[in-house]
Amino acid sequence: MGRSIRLVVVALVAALAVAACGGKEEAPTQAAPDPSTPQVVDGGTLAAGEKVSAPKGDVVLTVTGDIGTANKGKKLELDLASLEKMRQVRVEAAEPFLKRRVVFEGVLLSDLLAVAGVPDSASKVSLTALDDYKVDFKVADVRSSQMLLATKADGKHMPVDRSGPIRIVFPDGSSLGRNPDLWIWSVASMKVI
Amino acid sequence: MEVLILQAYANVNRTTAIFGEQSFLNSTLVNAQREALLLEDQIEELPRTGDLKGAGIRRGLLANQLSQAEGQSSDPQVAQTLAQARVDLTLIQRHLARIEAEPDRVSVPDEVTIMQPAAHRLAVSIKQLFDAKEQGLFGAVNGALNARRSSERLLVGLSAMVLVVGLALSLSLRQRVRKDFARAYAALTAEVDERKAAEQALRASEERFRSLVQNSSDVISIVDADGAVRYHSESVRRVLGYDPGELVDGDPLTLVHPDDRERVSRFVAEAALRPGVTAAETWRVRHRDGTWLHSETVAANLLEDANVRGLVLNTRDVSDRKELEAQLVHQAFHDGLTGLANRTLFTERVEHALARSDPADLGVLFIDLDDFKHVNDSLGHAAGDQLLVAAARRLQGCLRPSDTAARLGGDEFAVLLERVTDADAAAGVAARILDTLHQPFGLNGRTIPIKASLGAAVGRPGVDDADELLRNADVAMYAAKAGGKDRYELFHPDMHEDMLQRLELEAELRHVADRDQLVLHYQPIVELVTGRITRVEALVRWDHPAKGLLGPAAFIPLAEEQGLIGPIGRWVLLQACLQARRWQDQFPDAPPLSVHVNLSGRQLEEQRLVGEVVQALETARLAPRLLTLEITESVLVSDIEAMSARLRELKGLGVHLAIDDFGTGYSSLSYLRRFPIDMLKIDKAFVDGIGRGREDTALAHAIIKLSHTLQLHAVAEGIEEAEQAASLVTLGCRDGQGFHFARPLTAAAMTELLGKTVADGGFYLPNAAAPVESLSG
Repeated sequence: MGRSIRLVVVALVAALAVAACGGKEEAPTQAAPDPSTPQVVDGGTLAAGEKVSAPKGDVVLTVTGDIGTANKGKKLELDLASLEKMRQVRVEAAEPFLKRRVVFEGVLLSDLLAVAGVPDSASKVSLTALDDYKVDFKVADVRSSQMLLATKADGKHMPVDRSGPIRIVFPDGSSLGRNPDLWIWSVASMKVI
Repeated sequence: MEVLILQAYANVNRTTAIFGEQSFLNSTLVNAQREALLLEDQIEELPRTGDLKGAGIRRGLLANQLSQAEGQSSDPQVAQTLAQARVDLTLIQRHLARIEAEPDRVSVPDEVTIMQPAAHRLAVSIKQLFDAKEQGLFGAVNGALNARRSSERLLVGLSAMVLVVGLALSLSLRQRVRKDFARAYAALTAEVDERKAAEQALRASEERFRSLVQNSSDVISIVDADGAVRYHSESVRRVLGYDPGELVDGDPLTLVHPDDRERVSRFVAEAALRPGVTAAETWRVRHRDGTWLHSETVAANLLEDANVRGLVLNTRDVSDRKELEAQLVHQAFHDGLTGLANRTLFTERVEHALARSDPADLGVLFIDLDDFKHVNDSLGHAAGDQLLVAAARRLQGCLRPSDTAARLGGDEFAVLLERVTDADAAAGVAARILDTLHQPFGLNGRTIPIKASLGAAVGRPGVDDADELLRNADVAMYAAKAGGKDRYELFHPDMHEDMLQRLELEAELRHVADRDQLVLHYQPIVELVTGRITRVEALVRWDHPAKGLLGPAAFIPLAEEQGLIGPIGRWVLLQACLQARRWQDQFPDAPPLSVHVNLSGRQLEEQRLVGEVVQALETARLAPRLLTLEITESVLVSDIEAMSARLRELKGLGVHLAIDDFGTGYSSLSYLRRFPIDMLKIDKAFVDGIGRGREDTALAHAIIKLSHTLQLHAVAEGIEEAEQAASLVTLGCRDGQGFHFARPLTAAAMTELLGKTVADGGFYLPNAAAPVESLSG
């Protein structure tokens, strides 16, 4: 029993080691990038804690409420350029209304919350669209999910005619994303409470 | 607005998504319908709101919905409707883009008119599609329930149950949705129609108003309470030369004359305090080209009016009117013909001068043109006016800038001298004026000197006010006139008295004829050699109650001037003829005496003289050849033509004509020959000269010879000494008169003399050389 038990233990340890190593394996983004998982395409120059300058182009998103960063009074006004300075993520998702897959590019909503300086104490965000449609999310849900505030669809900016200029999209597998009602398009403003 | 209800359904519609594709499409259609109705509304409101961006976003949202709907259905009906909807949407997009491209956006109403039907069509077609699809939902459920296979039926039944439950839920919601949507839709349509009508009416009245404002020749401006200009009508271009845009938001005071700015600020401030319309206020504004205009403005306070919120100013260019006013003021103070000051202004100037300076420094001259009436009557009023203008110009030429020349009226002028040292200085100016006037003035081809009578008065401190000073100058001028005209007189206080007396005399003269205050004295004309009285000269006197007997020199010139010579002349003619007749009757054996009557220039001017002579002769029953009319030479040559004609007329009556005071006038020999005269009376001056020196004697001789040559009877006047009589005889003069023979006698005295001297062949003075004193007076 002596030697066989030792072998089993070594095998077990090895298996464990292998398992541990396997656990430590990097996220499968290097070898063959899966387009349906969010990929960083640009690290961005605008990060949390930095000042956001006043928008030069048309304002596409106005952030109000419990935020730490503002550039117009207590509001944070952002144009497409400002959004595109933040970390850009790309993902292919199933657009529920057009019933086809679209490659979206934009900012993770959680990243946006960070840039806006949303404190940990915040509880929810309320998004309102150009047609007055409103959707609320829990801040916790936003931080833990990979919901995207998209600025491009299939590589192009989106006019209002095509649900733009910015819209909320969810990658495959997102539980929130299963509800088409949450895919709010033509987002105009966000209020943090 | 019912439209607000639609906004509430933004979220609810999404819940229908759980019913699968059919309901997915339906919810999209509901969304699309919402956007379509809102788009129709926004387009309607576009002219008022100008919210191009909002309309554009709404269009985009609707386009998004249509894209989704296209992806959610394979139904050809849906595809067709959606395709048509796309066309309408594209049209709207195009026209929104057009409006955005146009800078002044004036065609918004027109573009809206084009977009409205398209927006309406969109709403209608989507609604219809939605209604149709709603039916379809139930149809699909029905179909599923009729499936044959039990398992299918079960499945369907289960899902149907779910469906039914869900449906029931959403049905009640849906009913409400439909009802509300229908209500909103109906209300929107009704409102749209109402609004269209109201808008058209408003547009029409706005057009009318705009046209009125643009075409008004007044400038209409709207000004804020603090005076900033918000609007100027088009006419500001015409009136002030500026573009309306150039002046908006500017400070309007920059256009106002600096001296008027304070007044204008006050005007605007006061207008803002009071409701209603202000009174008109005038001030000067500057035209773009730099010239100043007079403007008149009225302000209406419309600060409370929501559509205006300002003061409405109505401004008019009244420069023409101001100029006219200035002209009228000028006319009120100046003489129209000569441009000199008129009496009003002159009096004012004198008053001001007296208030300002020492009266002794002031001189007033009154100038009256001599015989101006004559010029007017003979040459016409146009010539008269020319004369006045020339006189005015010459007058001004004599004066300094500080002096004032005025025309008081008619042919009367006045001058105010503001810095005279003394009366002599004033006299100097007077003399200069008369000289300047004397220079011949060309009129109708003739040149005549301008003669005037001038009176000068200098102010007396403590004595004279304006009225006094003017009166003094006037009376001095009067004295100059009375003194013979063509001269000046300096005022002295006695002049008033003199003038008063003269005026008195004038007044009395008017009645002299009917008051029997005239009397004729007679002086005999004798044959020098024999002493025989052949003729008698009638000389008029005025037996003045206070002044005694006045000779003709004292009142005849005055009478002539005043036009009173007529009655006097008639009286004299008649009395002389009557007296001559009387003597004839009294002394029937002696040859009848001729009577001489002097005629004045005025009498000769009148046509009726001829008739008066006839009347006198007939009344007296005197033969015309016994009447000799004497006319002084200077009168004859004053108007050769007229005199010549008149003399011919008189000669035609059979009377004799004599030139009196011959040698003192300026007759030329050729004229003498034209006059139908019979006798020359040699002036006393020549008679006096006889015996005094060779020249004078020669002169007298020459005249006597002249009369012989012309076959005229010569009578020497003013013989006072026997030697003169003797010399005259030697020189060939046959007849004479004078104190040497007899002074002028009353009729009674004359009758007595005749009685004493009557003999065969006539009346002979006892001693030709011995003078006869007048027996009375």
